[in-house]
Amino acid sequence: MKKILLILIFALSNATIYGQCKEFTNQNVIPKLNDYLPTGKYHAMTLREGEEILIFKTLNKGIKYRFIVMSDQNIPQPLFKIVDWENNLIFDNQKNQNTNIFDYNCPLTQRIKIVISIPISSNKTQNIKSGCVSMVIGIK
Amino acid sequence: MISKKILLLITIVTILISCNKNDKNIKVEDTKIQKENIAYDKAKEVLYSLPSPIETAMIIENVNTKFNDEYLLPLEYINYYETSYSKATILGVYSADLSYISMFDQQQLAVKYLSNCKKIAESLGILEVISDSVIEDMSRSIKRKEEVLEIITNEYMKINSYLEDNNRQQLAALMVYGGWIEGLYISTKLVNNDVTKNPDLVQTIYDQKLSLEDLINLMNIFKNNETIKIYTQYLLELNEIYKNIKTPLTQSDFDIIQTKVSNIRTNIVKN
Repeated sequence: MKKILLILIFALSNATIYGQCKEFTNQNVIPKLNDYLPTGKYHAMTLREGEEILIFKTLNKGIKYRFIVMSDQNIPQPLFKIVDWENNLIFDNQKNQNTNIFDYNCPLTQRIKIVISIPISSNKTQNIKSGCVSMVIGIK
Repeated sequence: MISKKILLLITIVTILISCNKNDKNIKVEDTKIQKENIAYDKAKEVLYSLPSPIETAMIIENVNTKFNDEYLLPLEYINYYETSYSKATILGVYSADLSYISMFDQQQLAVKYLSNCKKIAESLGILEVISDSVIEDMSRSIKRKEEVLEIITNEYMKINSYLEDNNRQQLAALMVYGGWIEGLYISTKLVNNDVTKNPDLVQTIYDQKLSLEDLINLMNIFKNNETIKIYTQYLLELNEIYKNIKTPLTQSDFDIIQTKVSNIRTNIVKN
């Protein structure tokens, strides 16, 4: 009985976390697009400290892009880097005051890689935490 | 007692997650400055962000093209599709047409294509998108192009999100596939069989080889699905064509691409 209850709690909390992640994206991330149009899909997911995700995207010449990467309060602010196909750095938020917004006027059509990682918080006495991370790309 | 603890736990988790982190909103521009080591195996997930129909329409508009409604999928074709796979693919096609129409400020035609998208979405069980009031409002009052584009993008995002949230990622992938092919089909048609007239447009057609690779990777995630496997094969054949050509495209290179894209599109439309 207890096992079933625990499984139910786990499933419920996962669904709740995902729902909250979507809510977080809709309420906090998408509004930061301002006059940029969303590209039709956002990436919202739960990540733990120390984890990273990789996103492939083709940028098109003449379009202005806005990249927004944000996390909720449960985890440290995400680090995000954008590199071109030859791994030349285009942007690193650590080198730009940890901003969570990057506006890019794309000079040529190119494939890029976006790396989003969650740093491990300095307080190692606590357990590894997880939280919602969301990335939205806007265009204009 | 246990249920009270559970409730308390859920409440705490919910409150914690819904809190918004203090964010910085700084605009920055940066340039290439160094090489980075990107380790693919470190990533928990690898994702593909394909161009949305609006992005494709924006690419077409940016290269000085004129609107031509001859290349759209006729509205009445909506009744031909019966399986969820064909409906999802055609929803992508109509979404691409709708984006193209809206980018060129054809609001009344946009209303008709938006209605078609609503009907297909509903037949796929997606009921909470494109409300009647949105369609009525668009058909009654003239809106700025930006407003129309915003409506369309938001509805497209809702459809995509609904499919992914309800474990129907395969249909979401097919919608992307249909939209991508339709965007490329319209672009090739706008060239008007002469690569010398609009070199910028021809270049955008060549450039699609980059997002084609992302699309193939996305489709490959669902390679166990027979329909997606067949569609992926078409994309691989198109990719082979792209691999053997260079920019600037010659007329014969372009003709080969156009024929292949037309064949794929015909296959989608007749399914």
